[in-house]
Amino acid sequence: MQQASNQALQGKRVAILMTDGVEQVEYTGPRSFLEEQGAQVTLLSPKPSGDEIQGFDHLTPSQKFKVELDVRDAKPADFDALVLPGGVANPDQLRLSTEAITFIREFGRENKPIAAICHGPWTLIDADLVAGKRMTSWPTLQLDLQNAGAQWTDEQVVVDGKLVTSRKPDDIPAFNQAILSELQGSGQTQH
Amino acid sequence: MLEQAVEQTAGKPLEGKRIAMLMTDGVEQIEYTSPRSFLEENGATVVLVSPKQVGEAIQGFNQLTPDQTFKVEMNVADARPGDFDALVLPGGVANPDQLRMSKEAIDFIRGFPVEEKMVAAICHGPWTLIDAGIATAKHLTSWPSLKRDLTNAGAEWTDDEVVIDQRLVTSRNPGDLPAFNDAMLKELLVAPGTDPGPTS
Repeated sequence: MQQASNQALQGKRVAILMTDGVEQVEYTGPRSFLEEQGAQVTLLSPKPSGDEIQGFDHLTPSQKFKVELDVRDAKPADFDALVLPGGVANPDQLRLSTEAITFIREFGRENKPIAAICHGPWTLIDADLVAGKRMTSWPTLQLDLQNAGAQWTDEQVVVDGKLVTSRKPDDIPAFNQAILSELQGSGQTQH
Repeated sequence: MLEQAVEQTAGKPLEGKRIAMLMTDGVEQIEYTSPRSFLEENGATVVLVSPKQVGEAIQGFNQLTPDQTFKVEMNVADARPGDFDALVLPGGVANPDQLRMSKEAIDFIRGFPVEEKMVAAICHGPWTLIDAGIATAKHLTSWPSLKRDLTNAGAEWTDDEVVIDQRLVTSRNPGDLPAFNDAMLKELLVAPGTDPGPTS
């Protein structure tokens, strides 16, 4: 019985969208947590499958991660949730990828959970998903998110509808728990 | 020999001008070294200003690769716009991202337009202009990822190698450095208070 409750996300598919410059703990933290809960996680990127993504520990290049699916070949219908890690250079590049922004936008339009941490919420501006939303982020994005119509607050995790946002690596435990709740709540088909 | 020396002095149009370059870790180093060399070759005195302490090293980047380091010459808390003729803001995405969190850095930037002094920003450099409240109603450019944020802040963004609006000079990327440097020289030769208005 205990084991069954550890597999709360069995059958759920989660996309993590990122590229070079990702704050690596904001990828490895949520990925490990989601996999421990039974979810199947796929690393999506505007880079081709098999290419390496350079992770960073703040300003220091650190681990590398292999792309598992090119975002051009990814369909939101194939996933139950989307996670957007931070690292300032990562969303800065995603913003310039039409395919990445379209993928994020369609996720939002299908009302599936999107979880973004640190600089991750930056791309939500380009995907037109922040207007009227209560949310948080790394503090440098506050003004940009407000100018795009968001209500920005300084909390470790903010959930508004299907949008989960957090500020920084220290918030990862609360961020993970909020993603878990969203994915469990999305068990029924909503029409 | 003497005549040559005199000619050399006379050939330096920015003699006596003091320029602040404001930056921190993550700066795209060529966007620091190129304008600095150009301004110094033209006779200006350039000072590296940062929220970091004097003598501390700033980590420069060549895109995503850490490269050279540069010593801070003045802490921004000790810097006053009144002591400079112009401000240059290099890019490198992590650099302005950190400057935005420094109240002293943002206040320093805000002071230049108040005194009708040139601000020149390239690549991700214009990001801090949003926080300083000087992007609104300005015609400018930047690295394309900032287009939406600058537009939302009230700027008119266009995709040009250099845009000059009043005393604000902006460019998009390292490839624009020659045009950026020439535009700075042109603006620095115009005395404060005599700006003819938008030139582009």
